Amino acid sequence: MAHRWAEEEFAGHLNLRLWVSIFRRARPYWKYFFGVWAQAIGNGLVEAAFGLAIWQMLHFAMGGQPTQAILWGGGYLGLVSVQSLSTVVFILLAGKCSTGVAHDIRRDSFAKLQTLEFAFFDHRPVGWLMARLTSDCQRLAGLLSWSLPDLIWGPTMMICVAGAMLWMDWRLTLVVFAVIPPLVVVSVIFQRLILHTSRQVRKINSQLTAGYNESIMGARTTKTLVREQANLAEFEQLSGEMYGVSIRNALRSTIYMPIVQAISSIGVGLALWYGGGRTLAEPAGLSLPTLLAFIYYVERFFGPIHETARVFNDLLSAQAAAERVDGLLTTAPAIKDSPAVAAAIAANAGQPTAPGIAIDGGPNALDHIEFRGVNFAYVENQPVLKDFNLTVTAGQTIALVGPTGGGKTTIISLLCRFYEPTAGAGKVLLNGVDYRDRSLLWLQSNLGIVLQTPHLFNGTVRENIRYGRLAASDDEVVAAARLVNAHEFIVAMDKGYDSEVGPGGNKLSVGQRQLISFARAVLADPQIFVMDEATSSVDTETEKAIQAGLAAVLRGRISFIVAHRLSTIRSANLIVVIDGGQIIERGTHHELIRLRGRYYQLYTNQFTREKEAELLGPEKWGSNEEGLGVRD
Amino acid sequence: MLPQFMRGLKLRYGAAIAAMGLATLLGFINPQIIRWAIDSILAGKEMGGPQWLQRFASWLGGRSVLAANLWMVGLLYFAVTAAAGTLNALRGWWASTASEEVARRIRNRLYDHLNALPCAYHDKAEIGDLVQRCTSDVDTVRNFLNSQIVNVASATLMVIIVVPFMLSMSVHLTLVAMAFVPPIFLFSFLFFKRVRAAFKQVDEAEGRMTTVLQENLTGIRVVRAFARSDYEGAKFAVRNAEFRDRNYRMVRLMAIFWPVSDWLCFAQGALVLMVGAMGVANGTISAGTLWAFFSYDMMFVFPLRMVGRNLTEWGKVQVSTTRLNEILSRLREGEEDGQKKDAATPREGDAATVPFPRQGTVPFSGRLEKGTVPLVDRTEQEGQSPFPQKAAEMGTVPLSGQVEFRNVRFSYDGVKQVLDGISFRVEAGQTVALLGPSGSGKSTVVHLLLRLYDWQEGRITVDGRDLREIDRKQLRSQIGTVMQEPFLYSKTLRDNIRLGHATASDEEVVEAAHVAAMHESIQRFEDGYGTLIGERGVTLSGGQRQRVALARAILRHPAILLLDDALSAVDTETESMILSALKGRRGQATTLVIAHRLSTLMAADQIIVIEAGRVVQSGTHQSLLEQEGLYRRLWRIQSDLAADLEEEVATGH
Repeated sequence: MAHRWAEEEFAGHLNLRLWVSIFRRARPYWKYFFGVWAQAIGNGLVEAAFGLAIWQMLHFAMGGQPTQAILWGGGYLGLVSVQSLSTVVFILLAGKCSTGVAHDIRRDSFAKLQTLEFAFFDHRPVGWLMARLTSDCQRLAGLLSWSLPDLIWGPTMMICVAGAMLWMDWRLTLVVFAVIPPLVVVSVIFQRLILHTSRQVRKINSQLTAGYNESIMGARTTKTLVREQANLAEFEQLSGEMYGVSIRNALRSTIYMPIVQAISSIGVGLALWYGGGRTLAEPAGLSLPTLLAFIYYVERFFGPIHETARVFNDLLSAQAAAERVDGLLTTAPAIKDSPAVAAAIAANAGQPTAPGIAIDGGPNALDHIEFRGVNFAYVENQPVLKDFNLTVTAGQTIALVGPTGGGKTTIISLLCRFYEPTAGAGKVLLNGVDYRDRSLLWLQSNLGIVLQTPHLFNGTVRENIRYGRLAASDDEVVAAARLVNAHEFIVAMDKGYDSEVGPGGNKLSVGQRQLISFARAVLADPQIFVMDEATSSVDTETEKAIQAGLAAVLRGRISFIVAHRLSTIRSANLIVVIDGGQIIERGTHHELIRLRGRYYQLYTNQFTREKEAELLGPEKWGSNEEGLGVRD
Repeated sequence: MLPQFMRGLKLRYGAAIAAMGLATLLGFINPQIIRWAIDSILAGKEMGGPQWLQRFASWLGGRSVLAANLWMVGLLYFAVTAAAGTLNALRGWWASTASEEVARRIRNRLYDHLNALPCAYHDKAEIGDLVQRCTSDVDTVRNFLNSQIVNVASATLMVIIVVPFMLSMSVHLTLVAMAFVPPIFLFSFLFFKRVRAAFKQVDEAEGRMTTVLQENLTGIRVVRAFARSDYEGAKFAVRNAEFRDRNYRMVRLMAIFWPVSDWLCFAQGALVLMVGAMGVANGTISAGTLWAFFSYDMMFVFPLRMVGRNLTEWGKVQVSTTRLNEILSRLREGEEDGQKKDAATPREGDAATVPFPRQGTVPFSGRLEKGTVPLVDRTEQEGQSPFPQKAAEMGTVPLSGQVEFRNVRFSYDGVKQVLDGISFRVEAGQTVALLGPSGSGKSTVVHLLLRLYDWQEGRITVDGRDLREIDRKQLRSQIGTVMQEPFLYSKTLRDNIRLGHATASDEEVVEAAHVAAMHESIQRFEDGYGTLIGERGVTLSGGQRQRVALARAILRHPAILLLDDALSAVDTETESMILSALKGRRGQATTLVIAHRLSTLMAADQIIVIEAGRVVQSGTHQSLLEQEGLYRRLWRIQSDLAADLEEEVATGH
């Protein structure tokens, strides 16, 4: 959200290394790229040849030879046809390149995103990432395929035209070439100026967008504060700035073309004056057709120069996009299998794994998990966990309670290896082995997680539950749903298990989503079961029903439960109270009540809250602050 | 919809088109100069071409002088180009200032209108979609006005002017050139239709691909938790490939369209050259004439090539204006009164609420969502209240804050009755707590009192006056509101608090923050009151946001203070601090509190228990404790807890 409307940062100089790196990604399409470049050269040649055809045609026509003149006119028609055909080829090839390269960059970026650690996503909003994979990819691929060939076409055409002119009459060529330096200078300067103002336009545009966004989100507040006029006045100032910058930008584009055309007309003027003079003085030396062909060329000089300058600026303005895409593709995942583990997995690959042996050659069964002296911080120097120690054995259920920010969810994330303990400051041991020495995929395939904000994918209820184990049969899906008491409400839906849940599950209530994600985790039949505030939004009745099935779900597994429902907590083998990144109390429910310490305090608050909720209905989301959950 | 926004700019557009017309005319001179230089001066043929050019040539000194001073011809060529260029630059300048001005007007108008639309509209609207309309759609319109209108006018002018020119030079060649026009048009049009269909397919494929992408990224934690990267990769691969292939199908269409249409245009030129060359060889036409004719032909063909593109742009701008009109044709808050008057119960002072006459307003029918009133220029009534007489009469008469609801019935959607004949009375200066299960209609009471929605039946009065007779802005400016999830603007903390009362001094801002128990938290920020919050600044917690909103409301010294679950995210200790600070100011404001916590409720002068849109109980803490009901049941939880704990300890091992 925070970066949604943030403006782009801009580069000042062309970073060649970056563009080479981007280009490397287009390697599979090299044949097509060569084709495109060859076409660019060919096209430059043809465009230069047009002048020659006209020259010859006029030559014969004025010499009273209609047959040859018509033949050369036919030559012109032939060139037109060749050019059209080669344009067909160009569009097909460049289209192949642009769609293919965009596809590949998207594919690679997507694959990369699937391997990156959670911390990466913490700082990058979904919208920001989406923009990288959609607009940035399209823009880069388009630039490489459609614009870059102009860098070949432009100079080729210039050289060929210059060659043709020198061949026709070198002295006149030198005279009219006087206009090329000013053409180049003007093009480069103006493209720069236009680039500058168009960046300002984009920057203010993003502020305008933010302004609209704020006005719509805050419409109600604006009304209650009677801020309509004042807000409008502020916005009008912004739209006024937009107007100012836009017309400055328009002015630059507007005067650029006429200036360039005026310079070209000087070239024509020079040809008329010098060339005409020579024609009069020595008609044999410089013929009229030659003069006309020169005029034809001079009027077309400007095209390639303009295009070349434009492509350079496109490269500059796309550089920020290129950096972001390249940055994403070259980011190394911070959490991945160690080289030794990767080697072990590679060695075992292809062989049928022996029963009880995991893909990395280690044992598959998890007997105990230990946090040993674990320290962790999301931001340096702001520790969230300090010297955390905890041992859990198979079959145990651990309830983590305490205020938000105390470190409960962090413990869960470390357990799942979404994050790793700060290097050199503690470790998480699986059966006594540091989990950095085991396979990441193996660990995570053995997890069943139900989160407080349960994310469902757009699709049917059945598909969502089956996400836990793709090979599960329909009966197994139903069994899992029954176990968590989701079956009743599912069959009550209009299409039962084939009902659509909507994007993010928005056709269902939060409680229903929690139940489905619960069934999904149960179906996965994991060795480690994790529930993070998993049933906070189901009603009391359902909660009771879940409790009944929960014992069966948790049997034989290692379970971690973050919860504030008393019924859920009470059933745990061990309750751990966490605050400030440390364990402050631990024991069973009765022991901790007797202790009359922190747990007792949390418990009494929560008791009141739950009873109140029974009378007043469920609380709105995010407002629970002092029970065992969130606090300000 | 565009004409109203272009009001006063017609002159500038006219000037732009005139400049362009002149520039086009000048553009026709250059080929004539070359023709004349080649034919008359260099080839020594008799002077042809237009009369005025011949006269001009003899004024310059005739052929002999010009032949000796060819630089004059070159200079003339340059001068004509420079003059045409200047005119073109002027045209661009006028056209862009005019279209940017139109864009600015549309933007401001949209902003103004969005602020003025009733809450019922915003409840249903999608933010992303609205923002897109306000930005990209306005941009499409601006682009169209800036380039397309002028381009189309230019093409039309070109054809009108160039054809006579060409005819005057050679009827024969003109016929050859014109033969190609119908097929080019037809081809462009047919293709435009096919390309449009293909575009739609690409759009749909892109939509599907982004959906998969978005699903994956928002659910990335689930994907990773179940180790489903490969499965997701396969899913994305399908959509990714589909998008690529449809894009390429589009490219294939383009690979036919552009070359064929170019070929038609240039083959026509080639034919003109061939026929012309024959004429030159036979002596029926001069080389210079052929040259000039060919130049005109190219000028004429260029806009023809763009026909397909113009059609596409025209389609886009139609879609955009429709989308913008959908927003702008919605009735503004207050404008629906004329309709409500018939539906709701009769009330006094109707005369004052009759909508003022307004040019171009079309009577609307049905619900306000279906309003189809076309855009009207609002400049003449800007700043004017919809209730001119009443507003003047009201002046700044302060409200004392006595509030009464009498048999009020209200429904948001016309189906579910949220308030079902609610009646209660709050005396000025009282603190009244509203209590009830969620969905019982507590927040709705607050919304109605602010007139964010209009109720269907019953009567709400403030100081004995019908709420509908009080100008909305007058009313709201005397009410302080804090919602459960308050909205703060991306400004500094000081500016956010000061929104309550624009002319408040820094000391008053600090004082309000003190009362809201926010002062110390603010001081802890590096920049204190100057801290920027929101998208570009720091993120506040729910409790901090509530307290900033409270300070904002307090600063305004309102006659009525509405706290809609406003301290839910603030801890109990801080809450009681705030409440006692507010109590110290009691007598200043009538306070309506919605809360769940008994500690908040019990201090109120009156507690009103609402269930299913009706008042079921009311009284003081003491009187409610003495009767069976929700309040007493809530109060009993405390004793239940004591019993529960005793049991826990007793049964424990």
